[in-house]
Amino acid sequence: MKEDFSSILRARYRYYAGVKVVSLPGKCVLVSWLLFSALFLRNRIAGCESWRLPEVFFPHISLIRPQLLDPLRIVVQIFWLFFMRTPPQKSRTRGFPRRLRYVVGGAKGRLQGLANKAWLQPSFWQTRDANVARRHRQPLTIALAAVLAVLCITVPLDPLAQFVFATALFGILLVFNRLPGRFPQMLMIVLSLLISCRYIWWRCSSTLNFDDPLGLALGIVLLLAELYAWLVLLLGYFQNIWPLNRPAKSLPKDTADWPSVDIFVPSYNEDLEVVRATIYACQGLDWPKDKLEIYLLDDGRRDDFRDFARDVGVHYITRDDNRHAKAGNINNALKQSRGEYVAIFDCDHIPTRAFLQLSMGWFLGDPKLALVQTPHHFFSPDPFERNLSNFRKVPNEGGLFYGLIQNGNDLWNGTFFCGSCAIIRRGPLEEIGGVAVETVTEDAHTSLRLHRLGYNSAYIRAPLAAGLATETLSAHIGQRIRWARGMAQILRLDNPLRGPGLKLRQRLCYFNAMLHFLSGIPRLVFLLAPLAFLLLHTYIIYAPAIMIFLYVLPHMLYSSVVNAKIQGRYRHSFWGEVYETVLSWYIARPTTVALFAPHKGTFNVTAKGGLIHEKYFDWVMSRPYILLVLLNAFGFLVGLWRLYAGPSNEISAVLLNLFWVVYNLLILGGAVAVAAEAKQLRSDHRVQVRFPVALELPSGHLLHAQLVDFSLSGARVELSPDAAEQVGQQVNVIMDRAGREYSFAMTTVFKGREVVGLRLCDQSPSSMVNYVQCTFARADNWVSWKQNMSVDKPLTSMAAVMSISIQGYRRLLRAGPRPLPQLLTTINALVGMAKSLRPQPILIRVEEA
Amino acid sequence: MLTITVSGMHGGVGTTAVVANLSAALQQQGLRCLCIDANVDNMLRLALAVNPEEKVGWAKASLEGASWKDATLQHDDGRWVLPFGELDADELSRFFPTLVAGQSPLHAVVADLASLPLDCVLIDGPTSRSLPHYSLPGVDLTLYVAAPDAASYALLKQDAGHWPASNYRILINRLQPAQALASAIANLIADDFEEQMVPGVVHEDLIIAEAQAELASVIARAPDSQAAQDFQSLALWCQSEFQSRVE
Repeated sequence: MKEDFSSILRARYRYYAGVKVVSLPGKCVLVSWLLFSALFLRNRIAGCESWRLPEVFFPHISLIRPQLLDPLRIVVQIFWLFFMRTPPQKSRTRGFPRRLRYVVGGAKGRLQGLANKAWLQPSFWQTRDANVARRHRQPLTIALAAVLAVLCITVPLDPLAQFVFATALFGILLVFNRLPGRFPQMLMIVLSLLISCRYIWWRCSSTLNFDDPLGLALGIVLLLAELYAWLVLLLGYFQNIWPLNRPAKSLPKDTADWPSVDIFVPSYNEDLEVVRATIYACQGLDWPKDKLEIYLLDDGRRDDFRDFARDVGVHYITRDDNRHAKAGNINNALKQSRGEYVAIFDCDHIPTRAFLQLSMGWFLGDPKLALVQTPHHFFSPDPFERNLSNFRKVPNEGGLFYGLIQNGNDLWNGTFFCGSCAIIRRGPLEEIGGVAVETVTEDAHTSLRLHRLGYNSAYIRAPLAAGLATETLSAHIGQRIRWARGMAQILRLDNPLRGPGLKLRQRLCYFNAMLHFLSGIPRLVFLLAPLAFLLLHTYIIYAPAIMIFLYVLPHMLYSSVVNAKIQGRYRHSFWGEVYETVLSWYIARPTTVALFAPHKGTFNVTAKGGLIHEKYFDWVMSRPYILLVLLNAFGFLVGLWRLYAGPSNEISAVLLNLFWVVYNLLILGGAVAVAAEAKQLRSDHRVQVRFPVALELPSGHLLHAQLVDFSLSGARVELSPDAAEQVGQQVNVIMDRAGREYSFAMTTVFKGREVVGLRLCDQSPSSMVNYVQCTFARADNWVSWKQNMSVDKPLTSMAAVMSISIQGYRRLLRAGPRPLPQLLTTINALVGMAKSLRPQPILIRVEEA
Repeated sequence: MLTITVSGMHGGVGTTAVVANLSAALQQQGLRCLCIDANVDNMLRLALAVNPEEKVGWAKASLEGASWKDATLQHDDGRWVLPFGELDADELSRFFPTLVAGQSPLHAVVADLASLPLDCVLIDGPTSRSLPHYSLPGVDLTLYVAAPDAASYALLKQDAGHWPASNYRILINRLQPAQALASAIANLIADDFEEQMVPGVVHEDLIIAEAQAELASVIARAPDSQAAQDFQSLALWCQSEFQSRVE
């Protein structure tokens, strides 16, 4: 009996100790626990053998190596086990939403029926432009609604009433949020407008302190910034109320009826490598060969470009000066070509073969249509995506514009020309004197002029071409500065709100686009505003904290819920703030200058296709954010001091401003994170795909494989380990393109267990045209690109921004001068220790009886 | 039940290999298959691993007055095969008149099949020009196998106009995309007979000949090969084609 007992104990000891070395305190603890459990405890407790209790319920604590904080961990875990953990259950059916969905089901069909109505069809608004609009069909209803709206917006309420009002409407908002379709979405917009207008009214009418000159001055600045944000919100709702989602329109069966198209590929200083793929892809476009002329417009006067154009058989146009940069380049080529349509591709935008067939259809149906624009799609990560490592996971900066805003503009016949991936009818373009040269954003200005002459525009959302994104943060910011300056110039030189020819709706679309680029100063104001109270101790919003809370919070909450609903697939919540914050400092000055002196400033070319050899922190670019971070951090400390030493009637105001500062620090952290440039070593960008190919071996055997990525110089294939073993030095890769098969000789560069890297041998033009056709220019390449993107969930998105923000501060400390990296190590250790206190999830296995 | 006749545009395009490997793919996808050899050569049995000494077959059975069911053999993977039968010169001269006069015993065989637990019957038929002159039972689909060569293209241009359009499809076998001539002819055929093409081709792959020599199907012999992939896609297409015909 005694031997039995000791052998059981020994077995249990071995079970816990395993092969690891047991420390002396560990031995004491383990032996005493085993003795205690064997002598005093029941055999089984809570479904598991009692001697294994620590292992099951305290998985993060090691009995054989006890640590100093273990008692605390045990207390936390016990508390969590008893009070917090909910036993796992089968998924409960949620009654209300399900019932709601059932009720709504019927209405949904009717709503979708409405979507077939004529006025929601493309071109309706365009034909309507020709007729005199019949408006205010029901003036009485509209007047009544207006009176109600004015009442809702202007009536002052006491805190409790305001609370009830905002909460009740919020409940309705959440109900609408669950309903599918566009009409509930419109109702949500109405609710958000109501609350936001109410907020702005309250801000204008009762929050300025006229007795304190400093507070009044700063208060007015903040109010102006808020008015700007409110106006952008309003116009944004208008712009995106009903994205058109225009489908492609088919062409006549007989190709003799298809018009002739000139393709312009302007280039200034880009590498020939970048341009080659684009030219090859243009040569493979599905269009009658006698109706397609390709022009390489070289503003760099480079011999290798001229030779390349001659070798592959495309036209080459150059000129003696570089007047008006890209716009001048295109205008020069316009004079030397004569196709009925002009398709423009930046030299790094590779069109898919179906580009013309899918986008030309609308021209043939509408003689007034002058512009068809398609999205700019990028197959390499932009600096945001690369430095935050969220490429193809979170919608990027351009996602909102090309996914939603252009689509919304299209309803209002206000699609902008974006400089590339677009087709313009030659007649109208020559009528306005070619591409506009007065501003640095020649593209938007050109479409503005076309619209002024009464021409129509169209937007097709399918990504039909793809290109390289800008490489470095500084280049990216440089490009945005150019856009911002150009838009501000247009606002001054050719203001869309005035001048002839435009419909009100088009004026608003253009105005909002320009307004968007003026966001620099308001954003800086928001980032500095809480400091007015914390540092200068002046009330810039002269109202009790509770009232500010009750007005601001609904305003922000409503607009973020509605925007998450409208923009969810194209821009995740809070990311827009990060993008905007990064740009704010840099666009603030150029836009202001351009507003006052529109003729200043030059065209700077966006550099693409470069390399970043070493990971580094861009101290120059991030300088303004670091300053803002320091100011906000200082404000935070002062706020804490005020909380401690200040008068008690100020505590709520201090808390409010502290909250604001923390939010600012969060967004600024994201901006700082972007400034830490990650490595970019490959000159050729690899495009991740997945389609089947065959590998032909010299022996005459064919292997089945999946192509997993490709670049202009080679590809990578995945195949079974057995098959991978058979691949030798030389293979032919057989790819399929719309039923045609092409074979490309390649050499093996590396071989893994299931992966083989291949390099293209034959780089002759005829082979490259086919290769680009089978890879970059595949018609369906970019369509499925967005499938991996997650849907926007505001809280998840908040967590993501928070995590990149922390990441940003870490990178900042690590790259900083002497004591900072050490500080980071200490903080990391402390955080790690705090994390280890966290209760751990447990897993009770059903033991055999 | 899906009945397909496979016929080569001319000799040597790989008809028997298509029947053997397509049936293996269909069987693997869960369809119970029977392959019938309608060729005097009696070569299909080798592709289905029947003992070369075995002389049985439906033609022989009919001459001897025996039941064709006794001549039906089963492959290890579950496929059934009904060989033509090894006929000597005398037997052949007795057999041919029945074939041409429209009284082929194969009609009786196919009539009996309906009651058997089968999903798919593949007939390894004679070449395209002879096909109308053999009295073969009616089928759901005739699959003409063309090689990407001049002869196949010429015969297609000459004859395809006379075939009932709803009932046939053209399959390109033994395609070598690296060869300019082969891919040019394949493209010509695909352009001229756009509506009638089987989507996808079967590539020239040495493994097909090797598998044939080893009395195995490429599916079993080399599942990683492109040939196995080609036949699997072809089998899937046959199934979907059959589904759409049923509906």
